[in-house]
Amino acid sequence: MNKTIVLALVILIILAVACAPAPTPVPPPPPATTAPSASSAPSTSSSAQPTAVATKSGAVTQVKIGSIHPLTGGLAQDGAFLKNSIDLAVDEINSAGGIKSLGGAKLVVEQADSQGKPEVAQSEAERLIRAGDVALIGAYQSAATFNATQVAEREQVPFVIDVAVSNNIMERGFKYTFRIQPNQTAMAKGAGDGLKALGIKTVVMLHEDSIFGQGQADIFKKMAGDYGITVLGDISYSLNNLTDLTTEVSKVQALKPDAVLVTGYLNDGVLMARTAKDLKLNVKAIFGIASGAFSTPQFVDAVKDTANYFFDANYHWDASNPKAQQVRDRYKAKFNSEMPTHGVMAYEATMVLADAIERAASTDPKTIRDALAKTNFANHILPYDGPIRFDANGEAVNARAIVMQVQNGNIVQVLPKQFAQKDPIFPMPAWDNR
Amino acid sequence: MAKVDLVNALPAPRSTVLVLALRGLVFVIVLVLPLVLDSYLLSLAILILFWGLLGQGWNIMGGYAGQFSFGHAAFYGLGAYTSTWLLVNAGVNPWIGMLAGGLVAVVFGLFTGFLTFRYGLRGPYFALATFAFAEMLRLIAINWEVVNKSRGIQVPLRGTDSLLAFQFETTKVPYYYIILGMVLFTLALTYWIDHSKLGYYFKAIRENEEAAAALGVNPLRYKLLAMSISAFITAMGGTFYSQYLLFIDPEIVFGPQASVEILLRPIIGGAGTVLGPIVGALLLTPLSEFARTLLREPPGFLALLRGHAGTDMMVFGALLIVTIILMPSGLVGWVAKHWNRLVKR
Amino acid sequence: MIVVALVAYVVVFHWNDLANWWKLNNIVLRQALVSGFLIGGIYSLIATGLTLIFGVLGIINFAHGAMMTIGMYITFWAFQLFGVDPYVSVIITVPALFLIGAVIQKLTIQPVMAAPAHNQLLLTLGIAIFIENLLLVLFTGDTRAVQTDYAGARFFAVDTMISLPRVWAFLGGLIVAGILYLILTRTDLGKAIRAVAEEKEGAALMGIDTERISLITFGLGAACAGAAGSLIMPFFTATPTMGETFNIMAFVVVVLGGMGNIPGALLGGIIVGITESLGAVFLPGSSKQLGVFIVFILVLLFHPTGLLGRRSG
Repeated sequence: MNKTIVLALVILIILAVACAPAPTPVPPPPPATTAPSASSAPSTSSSAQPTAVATKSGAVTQVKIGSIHPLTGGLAQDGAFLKNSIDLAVDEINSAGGIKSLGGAKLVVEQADSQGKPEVAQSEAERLIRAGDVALIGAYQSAATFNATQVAEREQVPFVIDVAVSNNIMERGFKYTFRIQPNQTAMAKGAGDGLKALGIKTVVMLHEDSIFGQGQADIFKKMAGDYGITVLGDISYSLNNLTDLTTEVSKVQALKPDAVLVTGYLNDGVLMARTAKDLKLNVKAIFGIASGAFSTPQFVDAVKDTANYFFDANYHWDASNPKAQQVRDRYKAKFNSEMPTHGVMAYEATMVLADAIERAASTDPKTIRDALAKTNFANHILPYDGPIRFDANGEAVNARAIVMQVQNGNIVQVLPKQFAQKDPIFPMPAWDNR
Repeated sequence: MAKVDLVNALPAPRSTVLVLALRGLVFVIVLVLPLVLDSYLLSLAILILFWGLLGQGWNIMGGYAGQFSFGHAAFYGLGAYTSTWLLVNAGVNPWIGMLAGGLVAVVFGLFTGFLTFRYGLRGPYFALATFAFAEMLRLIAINWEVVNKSRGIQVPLRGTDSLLAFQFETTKVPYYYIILGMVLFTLALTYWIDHSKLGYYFKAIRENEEAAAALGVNPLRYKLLAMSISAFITAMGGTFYSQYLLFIDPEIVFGPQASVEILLRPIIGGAGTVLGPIVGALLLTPLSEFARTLLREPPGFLALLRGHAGTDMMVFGALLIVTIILMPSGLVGWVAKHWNRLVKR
Repeated sequence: MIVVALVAYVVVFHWNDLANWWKLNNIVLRQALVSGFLIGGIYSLIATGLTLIFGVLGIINFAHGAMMTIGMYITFWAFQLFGVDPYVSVIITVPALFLIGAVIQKLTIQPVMAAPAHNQLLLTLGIAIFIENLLLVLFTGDTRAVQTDYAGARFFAVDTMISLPRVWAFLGGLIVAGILYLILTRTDLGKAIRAVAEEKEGAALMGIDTERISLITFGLGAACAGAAGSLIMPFFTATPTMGETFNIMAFVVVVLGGMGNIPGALLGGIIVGITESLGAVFLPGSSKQLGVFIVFILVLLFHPTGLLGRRSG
């Protein structure tokens, strides 16, 4: 015997052991147990094996969906919000009788961890599809979403993006990708409308430097002229090794803009707010665009009074809709923390998907995809310009960003008028007078 | 540094029919694997080979020549960015882009290598210097409009499968064979280096640079050579990543995470051995899958960990620690060391 | 000539622009120097423990940031549950982290002391992964912040803001470094540690228990990380991966100052902090750390033993 071969065998054994507990590919898809679908796609062969656990009589008892989010690593906190919100939505759907058109089949969600790495997101998408998940939800980061949707497209399994903001994700002509949240252009539009309504003329952009912050700033800069806004400066910072923002904020201070426009995540948002207070940043408004901080309860909790008067143009739950508050109360009861805005997006993504499965009355991913494309979901809790509908690219046409402000420690909707709970407080009072 | 060289530690080769047959069997299994694997296992297999390739690149320099690089993301990213940039902006074929990327990485390697070797940086100092170079490239890529800043570069979808264009959308099988070919090529190259004078010089420099110099080996020249080979292979891996996942950004390919991932597997498998990197890749991917599967449906005594994000990574970290403590010269070294006991009992 | 002509042209014809630019950047520049100095002090604080471990054990400890994060969580929970002031909680974090560090060293580092350097580095990476995810499992990924009255305390020297909690952290760092320095130079333990750092085999021959010294050194280094965690908690937020943020800068500081050199860590920290802040003023986009890495590489190349280290052959 040769050592090389022993080694190879050892490894094969390890491989076998490691892979053994994984579910073996399920038996071939059950025969059409379901009502005929509205639009029957020609059933070309796909390596995906859409399945549902069927009883002997052929009735579907559960429908499996998958979710992919960064549950570990630097974005673990956000990943947990999204995961919890999906769990909440699934529980509600099941306790309301499951998927009725499938005889009350229960929705089962498998939560996968992308670890924040695109290649892991990709292989997890493969795994979930292999395990028989009929649709996927994800993936929070733009890079991971790129890869996961690619898998879904190839395997012809619908992918509903709850959060992932980059415009280019939807510009690839994919048939199986749908996005609930407003894209970067819609975010910039929401911010522009808000800034114009407040009468802001000059701004400085301050943002983190990834596709999220940089991409958002680039798009806003292109559109700023339409709102009569001059961009005086563009300052970016890197999240890697971010320990201090004093110099960045003092550069904003020196440019003397009406407002500083901030795009970033929670922890850098907290650092920015504290630094702005320290430096007595003298602007009329601190205004987030799609900020992962300024309109979240977690931000208010971390900086307390300092959070007051911060604006954010972002997606949000519709606070004027009582149902939204009920959902948030249930989240709080279940997970003992406030439901943040991106949690609401994940919740709605699950609801929209369940609605499509209901209408498809099928566990065939292609049929569900066709149903998703025809979505007209009005019973949502988002401040959109109408029901959730998708355009040919899979973007939510009625999605929009609205402007929130922290007032007295509460996040309230202030613009536009039809969603406003309170009037905006503008300009923000000087730091010494608060 | 006690390095165990598996191939040299072998007993004199006995070309029995059995050995040949077993070797052939392994080869055949590897060749027909894509035909039996489903999509998920195939993508795991591709990832294993992919990390194996990058590990082999690292191994030439970090394992054989003993120059511990903590910034191989620099070469990886240069490979990915060069080929992808050329493809998107000048329509250059990715295969040619791969060569171009390799050359760019070699030039960068020679530049940084000359600086660091010329001034005699070794051990942790060399490691941190390579890390700093990789970080500088990351910062430049993030802030340079020419390479699209942090928005990254998307490989345009062609809609058709083409070997010539290095892009397949309907099937992943070709990616498997491409990366397998690359791995086999570098495996052969490593085997040749290991058995040639070159490998002897590399190892001599690794064990004792002064002694090697006294024997007439020019350390600077051979260290630069190791750096170049290493950089080229790693850059090829970068191009493969880009053509396989079709999207790159500075954080993914230049980030510190990439440097860590690249060196993780060869060290676990056995640095400075022919098979170490690929063994490490074969071991590590199932290891993390194992941790994940275990904790998805945990056995009774671990039930309290169920449903908590991070438990699998925790277990992975613990397994990593245990592996390094129990197998200081990697799995290959461990097997070689315990060979006699294993066989003769 | 061309440069002079250009400067003359700008001075003569664009005097007003120049004056404005200077006025603008003058404030930013002064602020950058001050805040760079203060953040540099925090880098020194974190690097103190690291440089000790690096100098004595010769290990690049990637778990240092994670150990600091443990200190931050202890501080947070002590504050949250018992109302212990973050500065007071130093008396909890220091012994706690000393113990944790000693256990980590005994169980994991000691067995690989003879292994190649890359094994040790990978091992500490494994420890960091373990600690970060343990914290994630225990406390979730939620951002944790302590609310103190003095969190936003600052004063203005004319128009330059000086943040008091950062000054306290800096002073705390000086005290930690001072105590460590005294231990190293004035006690028998310190002499033994220095002997092991200098020549391990020789120290063993002289009857020094090098294993015990390694244990204590790692514990001391971890204790410094714990103290750092407490001292920065008033103005930073804790998440399981927070420590990673400081790891790289701390390494740069250690090498800059000379490994094992505590005054060097102080100087290195301040240089890194100021270079980084000035980078934020002058370098494009988010590349403020480019300057730090350039300085780092230059020092490595031309004075590899660090700014305060002896030049060795």
